[in-house]
Amino acid sequence: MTAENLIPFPWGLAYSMTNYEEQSELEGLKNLDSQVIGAVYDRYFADVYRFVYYRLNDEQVAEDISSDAFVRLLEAVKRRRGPQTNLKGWLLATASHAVTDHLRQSYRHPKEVLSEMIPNGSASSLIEEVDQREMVNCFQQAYTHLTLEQQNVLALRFGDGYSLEETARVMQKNVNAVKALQFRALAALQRTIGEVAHG
Amino acid sequence: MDEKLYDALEVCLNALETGVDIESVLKLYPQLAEELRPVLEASIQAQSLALPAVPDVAIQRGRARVLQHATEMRKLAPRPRKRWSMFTFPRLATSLAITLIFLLSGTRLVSASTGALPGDNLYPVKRSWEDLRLFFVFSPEEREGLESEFEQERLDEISELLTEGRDETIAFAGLVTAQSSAEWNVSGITVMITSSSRLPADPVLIGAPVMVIGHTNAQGFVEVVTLEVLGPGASLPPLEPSQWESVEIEEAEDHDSEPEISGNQQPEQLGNLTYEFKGVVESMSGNLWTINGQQLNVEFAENSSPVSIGELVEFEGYYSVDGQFIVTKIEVKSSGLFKGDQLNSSGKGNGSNAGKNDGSGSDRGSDDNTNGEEGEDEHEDESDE
Repeated sequence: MTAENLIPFPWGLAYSMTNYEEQSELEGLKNLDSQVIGAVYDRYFADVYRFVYYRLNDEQVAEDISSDAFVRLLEAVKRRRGPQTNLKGWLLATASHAVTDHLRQSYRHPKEVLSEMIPNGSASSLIEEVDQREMVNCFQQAYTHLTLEQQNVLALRFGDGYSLEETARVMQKNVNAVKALQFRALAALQRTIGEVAHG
Repeated sequence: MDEKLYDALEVCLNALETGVDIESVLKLYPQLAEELRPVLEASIQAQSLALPAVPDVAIQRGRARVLQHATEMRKLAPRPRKRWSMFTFPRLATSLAITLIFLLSGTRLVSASTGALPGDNLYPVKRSWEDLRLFFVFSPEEREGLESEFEQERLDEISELLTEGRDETIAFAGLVTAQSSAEWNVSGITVMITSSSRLPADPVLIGAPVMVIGHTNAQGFVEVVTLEVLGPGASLPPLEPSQWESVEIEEAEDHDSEPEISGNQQPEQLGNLTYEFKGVVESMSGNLWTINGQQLNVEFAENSSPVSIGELVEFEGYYSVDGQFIVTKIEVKSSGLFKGDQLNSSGKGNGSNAGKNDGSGSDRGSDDNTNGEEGEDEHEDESDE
């Protein structure tokens, strides 16, 4: 039985490392042990938050989605659908899905999204300080045009600061595939930023 | 080519992370610089977007939310209702099941075990079943009969073991019916007293009820490990029917013919058990003879031939109400041949003395040897130095 068979996420439960500590953590989560829940939260919250923030560039939503990932973990463990191994991968995968869902909802209600994203853009004619914001905005727009995998590889490598190997484990890919993926992601990003800036 | 580019990017990314600027990094791959430059520029932008630190407020609020949710889940979790079932008391259930299995299969198992001999797998079942049967018998007479039956069963088992020539540890109760030096007879079983046998301090008399623990062997006798005299009321196997029936018939004849001759009234018999013994006549003073250390009354005995001291005789008799052994029939088995062998004390004395001498002799020899070796060792040590 592998992790892939157990959890239907596209990525996230890469390495099935038998970690005794993790197993006892999962046991504690099942029993709704406050101390264990607190420990798991403290260990992984920052990673999940950074990842979500990188993908959405929104602190409030990042906070909501990140804490929600832990609530979902408790529910899943209770229903025996939680992770068997690789708690971090499970949390990041769950957060990734939540981000995708959030973006889908944002597209359906574009006004809210625009109201959040446009203010900086409309101030492009203002002083130099605004240029920086403009650049970030360009980047954000370009980033959202990347594929999901490309977004994730950048969020893990730059948002979370994971190494190539760790990123590969979480994404369930081999290191060479991640090397290629990050190259294409950055190349596409550069291309799109140019298009956004000049178009 | 692409792979080289991907590898170069990874090296450059790691270099940028350490604080090196793009131009310096690109010098590592001059021929790939064209392609790497835009990608590395994008990576710097990508890096700049990362959150330097997660706000504490976000961590605390998230933590509170998760823990609160856990508390709600705990409240909502249905309290496990106590259901009384077989599984509430696993041990009770197990013992009930085992009892049931025994009750259902018991008779089959027990019937299979009836022919078991000591050392067989089913022998413990046989003995447990006997104990169980005794446990449920409350009438004293019935109980005594059953105990006696089981003691007879022990004798039968031993006979069978001896016939098969098996070596098993056995224990049985019986009456000492003959004693000749080391070879005794206990309720029809030949037992051999060896130098390692543990016997009571007081001499065991013929007719004494004893418990024998020993080993069966291929030579057809039981080698005694321990022999103990049983107290009054011990359950013993009934004597072999052939043994006492025939004696009783002869005795009945004796009753008719003898009394007038002796003029004395023959003492009343205790119970209706008669015994057959073998032994060596140690002393004769009138009608009171000593055979194997036991005093016997031969007043009413039927003599086939004259008996003298030191002769091996076979005699029959019974215990009278006053505790005397009344001999009814006496027969000489040998004259003088067994004299030396029968006297236990002389035989034993010789044997033990011889053993002692041998032991001390060999001890001395071994001491000499070790001394000699030690001497040599010392010598060798010196030469080594």
